[in-house]
Formats: sequence, structure tokens, C-alpha cells
Amino acid sequence: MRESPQSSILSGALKGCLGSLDGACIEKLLLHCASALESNDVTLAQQVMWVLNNVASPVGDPNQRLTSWFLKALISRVSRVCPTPMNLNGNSSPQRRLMTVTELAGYVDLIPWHRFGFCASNSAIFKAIQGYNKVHILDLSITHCMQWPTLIDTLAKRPEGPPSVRISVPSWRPPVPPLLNVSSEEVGQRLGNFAKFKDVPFEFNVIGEQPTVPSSPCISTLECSSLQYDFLLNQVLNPSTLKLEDDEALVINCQNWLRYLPDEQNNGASQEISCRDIFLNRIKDLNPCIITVVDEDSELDVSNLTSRITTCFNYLWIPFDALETFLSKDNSQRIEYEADIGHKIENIIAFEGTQRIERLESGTKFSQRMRNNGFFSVPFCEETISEVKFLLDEHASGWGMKKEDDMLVLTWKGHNSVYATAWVPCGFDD
Amino acid sequence: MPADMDNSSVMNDSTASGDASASSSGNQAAAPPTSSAKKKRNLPGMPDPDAEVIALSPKTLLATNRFVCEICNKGFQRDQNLQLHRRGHNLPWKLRQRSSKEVKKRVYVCPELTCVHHDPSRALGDLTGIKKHFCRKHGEKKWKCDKCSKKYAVQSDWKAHSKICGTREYKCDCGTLFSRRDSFITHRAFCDALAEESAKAQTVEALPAPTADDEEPKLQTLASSSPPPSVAAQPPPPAALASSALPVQNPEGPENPTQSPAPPQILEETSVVTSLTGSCGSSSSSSSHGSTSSSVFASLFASSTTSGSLQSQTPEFTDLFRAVARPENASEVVASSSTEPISLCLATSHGSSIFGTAGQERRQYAPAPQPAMSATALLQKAAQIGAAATNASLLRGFGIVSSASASSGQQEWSGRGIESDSASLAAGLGLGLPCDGGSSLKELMLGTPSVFGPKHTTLDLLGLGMAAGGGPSGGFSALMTSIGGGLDVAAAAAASFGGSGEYSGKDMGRGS
Repeated sequence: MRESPQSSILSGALKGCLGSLDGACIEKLLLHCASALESNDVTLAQQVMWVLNNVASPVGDPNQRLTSWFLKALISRVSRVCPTPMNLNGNSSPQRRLMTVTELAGYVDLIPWHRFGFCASNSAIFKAIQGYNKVHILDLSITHCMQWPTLIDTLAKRPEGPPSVRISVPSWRPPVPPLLNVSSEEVGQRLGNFAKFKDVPFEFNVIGEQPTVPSSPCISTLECSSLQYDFLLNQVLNPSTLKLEDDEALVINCQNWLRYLPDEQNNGASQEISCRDIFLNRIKDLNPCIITVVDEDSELDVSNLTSRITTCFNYLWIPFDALETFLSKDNSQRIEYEADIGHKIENIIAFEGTQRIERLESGTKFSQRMRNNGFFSVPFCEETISEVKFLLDEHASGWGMKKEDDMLVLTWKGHNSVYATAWVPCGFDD
Repeated sequence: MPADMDNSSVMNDSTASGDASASSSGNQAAAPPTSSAKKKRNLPGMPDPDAEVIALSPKTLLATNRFVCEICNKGFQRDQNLQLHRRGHNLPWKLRQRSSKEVKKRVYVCPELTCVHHDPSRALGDLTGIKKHFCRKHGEKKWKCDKCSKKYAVQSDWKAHSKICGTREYKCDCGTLFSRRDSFITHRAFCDALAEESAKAQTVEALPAPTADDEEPKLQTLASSSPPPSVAAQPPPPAALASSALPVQNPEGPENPTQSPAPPQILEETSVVTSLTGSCGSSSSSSSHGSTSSSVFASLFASSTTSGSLQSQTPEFTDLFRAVARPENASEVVASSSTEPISLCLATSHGSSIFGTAGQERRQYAPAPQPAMSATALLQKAAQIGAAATNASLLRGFGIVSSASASSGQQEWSGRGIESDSASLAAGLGLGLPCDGGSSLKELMLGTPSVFGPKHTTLDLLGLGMAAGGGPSGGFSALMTSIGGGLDVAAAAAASFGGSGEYSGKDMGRGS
């Protein structure tokens, strides 16, 4: 190929263009890159990447920042063609900084992305456990118990006195940000100090033995993920490991968690049911008095790469846009928050099979799944709704909320971001 | 409720996802006759593909009289007033009715090209929303809070802020201030100050008024005998400082000399410093912070000129991948991977021992601006990439090293090892490549697609139906033509990624 006469066509096409690429153009470029990769048109992919590279910047405007993470994910995908000897040396990969607990406390409150779910769930939990003197919360979440101080605080002020509170967390958590520099035990201890300070009887447990992850690199990812899954199913959702008691209200809190459960058919059995459904059924068997489920409202578990890119791009612009409204371009908290989102983008775009652990489904789809698996939705009461509204009023004015069927949905400038739901098993025994 | 009415105060029972709530006055705004191009588009990711996308001009968006009489051009702030006025023109009956019989859903885009809401898939659902957005984002900030000097473009925002400014402040024992109660409570629960106190739980005379602390603005702090050793106790979220006049108190005081010369008027500076020092974790090695912080602080403001030079280098791709593929050259690769982050991060090479690997890849830098390239030149160059096999700086410029090491990120996800099934890897990429080491990858990156079978363009996404003989560069120009007027490229920003977002699998092994 030599110097193409099409360069004059190019200049023609660009005449009069001013400013930077807008979102629609970037999206198209990303799609072209992806489709070029999928159909082996490497040159085109390269060319598009080259253009994107000149737009992208992790410290630019939101579109530029978002593009930089997408581009990085695409490159990651491309470079995965061959595992190189570099792979075996885990130390070569630069590592995300681990946060302290107080930094994490600030992190989850930068934008109401997490706090929305915390508030809605805690309010629903508070209502559900009325009349109980003992509460046991099984916390399946990625935010290291940041949700619980406000609940403990509310329980402390209960007119009839606080219940005794027991919180259990699994000893394994999905390897995703935000990452802490202390153990779960340490987190539990601090929470315990706080509960003591508030005169709430408190106990904290880390459940289960570590899934034995052998140090040999020969284990396949498939084996590893099923180890983790078995661990969750058999050790965590296990009445005796949990030491369930009859007079205790059992609360199961799933925050950004269920998406990590595989949704394919369970191998080895001829049933149609997936791992995720099995997990939910096991939860049902524990007879919890409420299950709170919060997650991001986007359909990202699709096999087609280009639709993943589109959906992802048209969804994750939201936190980038929100952070832009009040943090400067080189603000470190903002950069870290965005890097964590970039981590998610990379998993969604660059990986397949069992390595792609981000299997998010939309709130509507998830709600249907819950109904199919025999759960009733618990509507959020007016009190909860006004609490959440009050919370959002304290944040930037783009944040809003709406009710969609059984869900409360956090919106940014009208676009869905996070959903919150509450469920009870059909036939719950009080 | 002072908040924006199309947000938190309105609840919408509709099941349409992404649908913005209707304005609470129930006004279906008529599009003023002065609107600019109305485009209708069907885009993936668009919440309501049937919605009509309306792009109003800046003048319209800023105008207060948005309902205009088509007969005499008189403007009104409210639709009802316009209708009342129209009656006065004695119109025949059929013209009196509003033309909008169709209850078509309308969404509005921002006219500002660079704005995120210029894209129809980011459109806002109601006229008030887009007007407020335009005003806030692109308008002049005419309203200023007297207490804290924050400025607002929209009057209602300013009013809302003034109501709460300085009214509630929660102060933690460690000195951090919060304007929101829930963030205060959460912080407090995990704060070292509380941990300290629990350790000294025997001396409880200071504790008697725990609830009093929470409810009112705290003026007294509970006695603690030693300053908390916490290094990173206060990364101040912007909301934490209700007014910029109240600097964050860093309790390290005398132990951290950089705090005194740096008056924390600029919030971002402070947060950078504290979070940098915080990267050491909660250990109390405060003695090392003094010197580190000052050198780091200094380098924060030193312009990093080395990053520019990285971009202009165009090392051969082949070299890179040869190096990557063979372990004996690993040191060469490692060296180049470390130069990139060094030039781009505050933590310079000597900082690595202090911050540990964790601090190395921080992206806190002001990238040296690239020489601006015109969009035309950029795309010409891009088209040449396929033509000249030697122009292989593409992925190197991306920091391919970090992405090569990113493939070790496979480990992160699985926790262990690499995918041993390389065929599935290649399949996942959609490439029917046998995985035979560096050479095929080299070919891949140099863009000799003969390996992959017949050349064809991939632009059916746009329905262009390009002929197969177009070839890749032809495909690219067609792509650019199709994007047409909306495409331009700003080359001002640094192009490389200073470090990837890889994470340790530490969490995997924790909890014993």
C-alpha cells in the first residue's frame, strides 16, 4: 500500500470541523475498532486506535477520559492474542493503590453512586426487622462494610432500644476495586468499636475457610472460578457455618455482588438453571426476612463485543460526567475513582469466558429473575423514599430518583444509573 | 424543596428506562419556532429510539421567553400565557388548537459541540433540564454565595446552596469536617480517632455525650492523649469542606513540615498531598513523610517535560515484541516500562522504596501537551499507518508495555496463572491465529493482514456496503467520510497511559 489518494478525501471530510470529538463519534470509532478486531481487519483497527489515541486522555474532559479507558481495554484485548513469558511474572503489572478505611469512607461518598443503595437498603432493612431483638446480616458486597455505620447509628436510636447486631462477610471477595489495605477482620473490629460507642451489641464474623487457591499457575481460570463458586455456595450459604438462629432476623445484603456469579448453565447437570439461580435458591432456603439487592442498571452480560462496548460507553459516561461537575481534572480522588471504573471496562471488553467476571444484568431483567426464582418484591415505603430524596438533595443537582416497578432507580440527568430492590422469599416463615 | 425540579423532587412511574421525569408543572413545552435543526436518530444505547431529538440554539436556551406567538412573535414565559394571548388574534377554530397532536416524546441535546450532552444518546428529557444544563455548564456564573464565594449560573442552584451553606457542620475527632451526616457517620466509624479511644476505653469520662456530638455542630473535641498516627485520615471529599475558608486540619502537625508552607486554600492540593502520604497505608512511619512529601510536592508542580519525549520516540515495534517475547530481554522492557511512569507520575524512581509499588503508577500528573496536530494531518497519518510497515509506533505510544503486562492481569481475574487454552484466547479475539509466540503478534501489530485471509472492509455497521476491493485504508476514509461533520480530533492531550489499572490479587488471599 502506498500513499493513498484518499488523503484528499480525508481532508475534505474534515474541513470545517472544530473542537473535539463528541460522544457519538467516539462511540462509532470504538465500535469500528471492535468490529475491525472481530473481523481481523487489523489495519483498520490500528488506524482507528491511532485516532482514538490522540483524543484520549485520562486527565482531559469526561469524554477523553472515558475514551482513554476504553482504548486501553481494547489494546488489552488485542495484546491478549498470545500469552507471553511476561505473564508469569505477576510483579510486572503495576498495582492499584490500596486505600485506607477512612479513604474508602470518603470514596464511597464522592458521588451518591454507592450511598444511594446504602440508604435505600438500610431503610428497607430497618423496617423489615422491626420487632426483632436480634439481627444477623450476611453482607455480600464489594465496599467493605461501608454501608453499616449509618444502619448501626439508626438502630442505636430505635425507640425500643437497639437489637443485637451480627454481621457476617465471606472470607473471599471478587478481585475488584475498591481495594483496602487492611483485612476484613480489621474492618470488623473498627465497626465493632463504633457499635460499642453507640451501645449496640455487636458481633462480626468472617465466614468460611479461604478457597484454597494453589500457588501453581497451572490451574485454569475455569477451575478457579468454580472453586470460588463452590466456596460461596457450600461454605457461605450454609446454615451451620452461618450459625443461624431461630429468633434472629436474617438479612442478606447483595451490593454489586450478584453480577459476579456466572450465569451459564451449570455444567454436569441437565437442568436449565444457572449458577446464579442456584445461588438465589440457596439464599431462599436460608429463609431470610429480607434480601436487599443493589446493582448498576445496565445490561452488560452479552456475548457480542460491539454491543458490550456500546452499552458500556453509553452507561459509564454517567459517573465520569458526575465527577466532572465538582472535581478538577487532576484531582487524585477523581482519577482513582475513574481508574476503578476503567478496571471494570477492561474486564468487560478485554476478557471472555470465565475471565470476564463482570456479568451485570439490568435491573428489569434481574427483577424478573427474582420473581422466577420465587421471591416477592418488597416495595419501598414513603419514608424510605423521602430519606433517599433528602440524601440526593445534598448532592449535586443532577442526581435524581425514580420508581420503576419494584425498583428505586438513581438517575443522573434523567439517565438510569443504580437500582435498589428488596425481596422476600415467597412463603417466608416469620 | 430547593432542588432542581426535574430531578429529585419528581417521581415518575413510567417504565421507560432512562426517561427523564417530566417537569413538575406538567408543561409540555412547544418547540419555539427559532429552533435549529431537528434531527431524528435511532441510536444504540438510546433509551427511547423513537424520541425526537431536538437541538435548540444557545439563544433559545438562554431565553426566558421560550413560548413565542407565531403570529406576532411576542414571547411568553409560560405556555398558558401564550395560549391566552393567541386567543386575542381571533384565529379560525382549527388554527387555535396546538399543532402538537402527536404526543411524541422529545429529548433535547446541547448545542455546544464539545459537551457530553451534544450526543443524542446523552440527551436530556425535558426542556427545563437542558436549559438549566446549558446555563450551568456553558453559561456565565452570575450568582455568588456571600458566605463562601461559590458561584452559580442558575439562580435556583444558588438559592439552594445559600440555604445550606454553613448551616450544618459535623466535625470528627480527627479534625475533618463534613457537611453531610451520613458521610460523617461513616467516616467516624472507621476513623483512627475512634479506634484510639476504644483502646483507651477505660477512661470513659469524655464519652458521655456521643449523641450530642452528632446532632449539633461540634465545637469541642474529645480528649485524645496523642495525635492519631493516621497518615491518611483525611482525604477531604469536596463536600467535607463546606466553605473553602475552613482548611482541613492535618493532625500530623509538627511531624509533617510540608503542611505549614502549603496553605490549604486550594482543595485539590491538599487532597493530593494527603492521599499521597496515605499511600503508605496506615502505618505510622511519619518520619519518612516529611522529606518524601516535600519532594513529591515539588514534583507536583514541576512540569514533567519528559513525557513529551516519550511520545516523540518511535522505537520499532519489532524490538518491543522481541523483547517481550524473550525473557532475557525482560530487563530492557522493564526499564522502558518504568521510564514511562516515572516521567508521568509524581513518585519518581527514588520514591518507589518509600511508597512501595502501590504508589508507583499514580496518574497525578499534568501531561506535557503534544504539539497540536490538525485533524487533517492526523487522519492522513492514520491512513498511512497501514501503508508504511515501519510506522509502528502505535501501540508503543499507547504504552504497550503496560498492556503487555496487562495480559498478566489475566492472573488477577483468575487469581492464578494464564489461560492455558490459547486457542480460546485467539478465538475470543476473533482471530483464527495459531498461537506461536512473538512473530505472529508482530505481524498483527505491523498490519500485514495476509495472515488473516481475504481483505475486506468492516463497515457494514454503517450500512455503507463497501466493496471488498476497497482495502483497509479505503475503509478508513469511508469511515471518516461517514462520520463527516461531527468528527474532529483534538490532539492536545497526552496520549500515553501512565500505568494501567491493574490490581493485585491481594483480596483473594486475604481473610485468614
